[in-house]
Amino acid sequence: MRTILLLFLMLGSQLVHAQERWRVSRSQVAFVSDAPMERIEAQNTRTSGILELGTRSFAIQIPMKEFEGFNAPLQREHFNENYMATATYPNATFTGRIIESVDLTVPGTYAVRAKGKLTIRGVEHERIIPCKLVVAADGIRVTSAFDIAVDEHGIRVPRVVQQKIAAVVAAKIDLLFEPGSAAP
Amino acid sequence: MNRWLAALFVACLMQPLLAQFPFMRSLEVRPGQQRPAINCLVQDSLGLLWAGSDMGLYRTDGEFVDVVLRTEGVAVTALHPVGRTVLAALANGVILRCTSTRCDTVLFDPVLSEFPVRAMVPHTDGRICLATYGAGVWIVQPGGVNRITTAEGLPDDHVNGMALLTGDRLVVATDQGLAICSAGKVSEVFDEARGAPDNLVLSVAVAEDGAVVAGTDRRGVFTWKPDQDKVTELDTAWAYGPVSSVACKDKLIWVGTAGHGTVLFDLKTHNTRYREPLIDGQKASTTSLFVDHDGAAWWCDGSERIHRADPAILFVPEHEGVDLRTITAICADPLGRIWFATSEGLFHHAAAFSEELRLTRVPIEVDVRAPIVSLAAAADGTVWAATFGNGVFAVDPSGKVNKYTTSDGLSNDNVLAVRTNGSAVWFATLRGATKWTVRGFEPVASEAGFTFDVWPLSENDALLATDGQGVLHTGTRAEVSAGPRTFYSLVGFGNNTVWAAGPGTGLCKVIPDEPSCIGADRAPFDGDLYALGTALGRIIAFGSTGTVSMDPVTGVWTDLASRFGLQDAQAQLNAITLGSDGSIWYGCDKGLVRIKAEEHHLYPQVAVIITDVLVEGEPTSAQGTINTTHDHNDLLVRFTALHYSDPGAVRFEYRVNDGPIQRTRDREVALSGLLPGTHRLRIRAFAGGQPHGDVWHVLTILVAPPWWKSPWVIGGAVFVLVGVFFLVLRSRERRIRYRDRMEQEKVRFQLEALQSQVDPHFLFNSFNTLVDLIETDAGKAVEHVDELSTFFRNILLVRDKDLITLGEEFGLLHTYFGLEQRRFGKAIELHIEVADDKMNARIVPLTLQLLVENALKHNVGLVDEPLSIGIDLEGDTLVVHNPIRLRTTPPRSTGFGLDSIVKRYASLTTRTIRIDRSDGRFAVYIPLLPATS
Repeated sequence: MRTILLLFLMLGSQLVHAQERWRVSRSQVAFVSDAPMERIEAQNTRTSGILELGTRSFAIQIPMKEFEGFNAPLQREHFNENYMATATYPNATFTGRIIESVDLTVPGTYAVRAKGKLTIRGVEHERIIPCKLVVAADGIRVTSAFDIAVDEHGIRVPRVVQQKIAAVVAAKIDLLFEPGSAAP
Repeated sequence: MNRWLAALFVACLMQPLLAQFPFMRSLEVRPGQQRPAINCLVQDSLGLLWAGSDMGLYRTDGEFVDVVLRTEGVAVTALHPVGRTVLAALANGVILRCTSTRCDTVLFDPVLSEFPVRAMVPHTDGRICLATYGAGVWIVQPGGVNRITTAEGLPDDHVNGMALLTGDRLVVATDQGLAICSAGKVSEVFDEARGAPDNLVLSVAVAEDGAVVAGTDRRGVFTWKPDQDKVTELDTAWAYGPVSSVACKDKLIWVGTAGHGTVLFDLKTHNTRYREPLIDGQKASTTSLFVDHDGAAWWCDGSERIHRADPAILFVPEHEGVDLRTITAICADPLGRIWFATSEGLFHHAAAFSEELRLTRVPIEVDVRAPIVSLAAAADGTVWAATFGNGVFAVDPSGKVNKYTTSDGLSNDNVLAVRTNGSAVWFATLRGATKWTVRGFEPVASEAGFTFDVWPLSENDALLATDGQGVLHTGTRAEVSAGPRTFYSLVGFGNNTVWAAGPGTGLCKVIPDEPSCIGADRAPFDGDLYALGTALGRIIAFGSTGTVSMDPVTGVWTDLASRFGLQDAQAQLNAITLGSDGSIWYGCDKGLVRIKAEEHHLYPQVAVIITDVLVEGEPTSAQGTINTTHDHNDLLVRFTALHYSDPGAVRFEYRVNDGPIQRTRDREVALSGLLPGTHRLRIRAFAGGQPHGDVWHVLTILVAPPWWKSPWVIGGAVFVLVGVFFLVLRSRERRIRYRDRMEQEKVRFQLEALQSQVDPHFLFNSFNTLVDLIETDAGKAVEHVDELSTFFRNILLVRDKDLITLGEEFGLLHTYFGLEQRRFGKAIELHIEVADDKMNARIVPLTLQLLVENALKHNVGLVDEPLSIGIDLEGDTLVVHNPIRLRTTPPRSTGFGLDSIVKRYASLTTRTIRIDRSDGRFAVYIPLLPATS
């Protein structure tokens, strides 16, 4: 949380250049755990985030409690309580920058890399995640698919359920940033 | 600092997946039950490894792990070795300089806790450069911190890596390309605009030739020569993900990837590529890769494990689907190719083994029941393959295969060995040997029966290793080994020496001298023997129970399996050969192994390193010689010997002074209560063999004696004691002598005085005077007798005294002079001019009386011209003087008088009595002694 606050402050301080900050207006974050015995899918539409066009910096926050889907309500409960400890770590965050020096004010489609800190369950990891940006005059759509190794974030999967929970979870992100609009 | 045993395992041999990679070993750095996530790893100048994790900083020699620092959850983000110390950057913004026992803060800046240090490089002048992720490059110097950021032209403040170029230039890898910094400024930027394959450079290293080796996110590794502006991509079709770390040495580029483990590129052999075998094909992220002093690469992967891969040993478990773990025979041909036979067929391959280089399969149908058991290459390039049951094959350089069996003249189709010598080829078969020349096959010594091996001595003669008949010479038909035993293998060493070995025989030298065998009781001669070979001037024996090398010159045996960490590997008969570059090729059940052995591999001695010396628990930085004192004489010496291919195999011997040689595995010796003097601790280490010769690492310990035991102090004390004794003795002697002399003088003086008292002449004169007085004046007579009696009483009173006051002496003198005046009347006069305050001064009794008596005795006094005796004072000296008017008849004199006075004074004072006889005046100068004496 501290890093996010700091990033926001940092972004704020750089606004002397009248940088434009766009916010997430619509989001679809999903993950798929494709284990030999079971396939689990869940989605989340409550992601908030901010993208600064000038510095190409961003901060995204995903409330982990808001994942919907799963194969059973009990599974969702296990997800929240046993694996993600959402009471202690309510959010997953990804803060960083877009490496490629693309001009986000020019409409077009760009393949970029977002480099930053991915924090899930309080464990931070530096990731370089390839993303597709579709820049239009009234919004930027960011889509990406990447893998998350659960042990990298301190998530211990008991041996008995190892056949049901994948060691590497595939995540999909679809975010729409719009100028000045508040997150829903 | 506490130490824990490190757990070691051989990663490569455990791998279910087959991949070609240098021999790899992993160490678990687990202090206690902790599982630290190690994210940086370096080697110090001694060769010890330092690992930084989220829990602390550790130092290890492969066997023990020392906890240098506990960080309580603050990660160590970067390390850099500086001599024996290490610079460590912590995630909370502290930069430390650590020795094995203590850490000192070099810098603390809270900014660094937000922008972690990714790399540290010390300049040659000692300034420390920090690569921060978000705050640019910091140069820490005595006056403060000099920052290089985007404002100074750095492409980006997010720095991923840094390395030192020549001329104190830094090459900095940022999120937006490479930059070169010198003298606090950015001198050059190299990014996509200038031809870099990828702006996102995650790691950087500098090669020996000055080229910058950069690892990128998407495009793998590229090299860039800043001066020539030449860019080369290591692999244009990079498929191993982001390159998180890179290291290079000796034209080998080690690439650490995020997701594909470590990949090795050999630039010497056309960028041949070797990939780390991955457990279950799982992702493996290599970080903090470096090449150690031995040329082996080390890295960590964010777990508690650290890994080492030694390019001297290449493991090839499979190639193009061919299982190389079942190799039955192997040889190298004159072109440098390696030929090997498995149950699947006969193959050859270039000496540089790698994924890109193809195997060539020789079109021979190998019958599983008749495997190829031996291969040999002739000088013309033909490779001969011997099968056990199916005759022999000859593959000529063009690839054409000919098969020969008993029908072609071969003694037997069951061939056990093939050897070449010039144009002749020799076969060892079940019925003696067969020689092949261009003229065809020719059976030799068929009566030898079961023959395991043959060693050609010349075109015509060879030695045969037989079953139960010893080693036979084909020319003389003589048995040249020591007894008719079974020999499996023969090998020539040098020009004309041949060695043989069989089960239980040991290693036997069979020609040219009398046969002699050594090492019969040691492995591998105690088990099944597979092959003998030679490499680097050693004889190498492979067997089921081990692999040893023997130096025929020194007789040193070395267990190669332990030296290379290949204890579990099992070889096949004849599955060893020497490559054209001197490397040993070895087919075992783990795959094909190439060992580029170096001299130190074939010698059991391992260099000893003294890691810490603690005096009374306090670490000392001294090297070679330890100076300490008698009250700091408890030492703990910690040492190690680095043998990372098998750290646990190292044994140590040490010896304190000339004491017995002690063996230990503890890697420390406690020396307590060392006596003052010079002590020598000698240590040696060895792995895979016995120590040979008298080579020791010597640590000298000088224990200073206490100050009061130093020769100067002892000498001085003895001198002072002797001096004092001598002085006491002398003063005592002087006192005794003085007392003796005083006694003597006193006795003599008393005698003298008595003599004078009873001087008959004096009495006679006195009595005559008395008679006169009685007649003339009876009253005066009574007075005279009275005075005479007073005089004698006074003499009796003073004679036992050493000194009397001047007043008393004058009293005596007056009495005496009064008596004499009665006789002489006005003919004598006494003038005393002494101040009254001197009356307390001391004088020897009767001195003045004696002098006056002498004066009266020797001189004439007349009424007209009286003898005037004067006594006056000159300072502290009393002068008794009279004019010299000697009597015509000299008086009877003992001569004692004056002399005895002189002697008594000499014993009492340093001032002497002076007698002056000048100007017709006789004067005696008598020193007055002070009243207190």
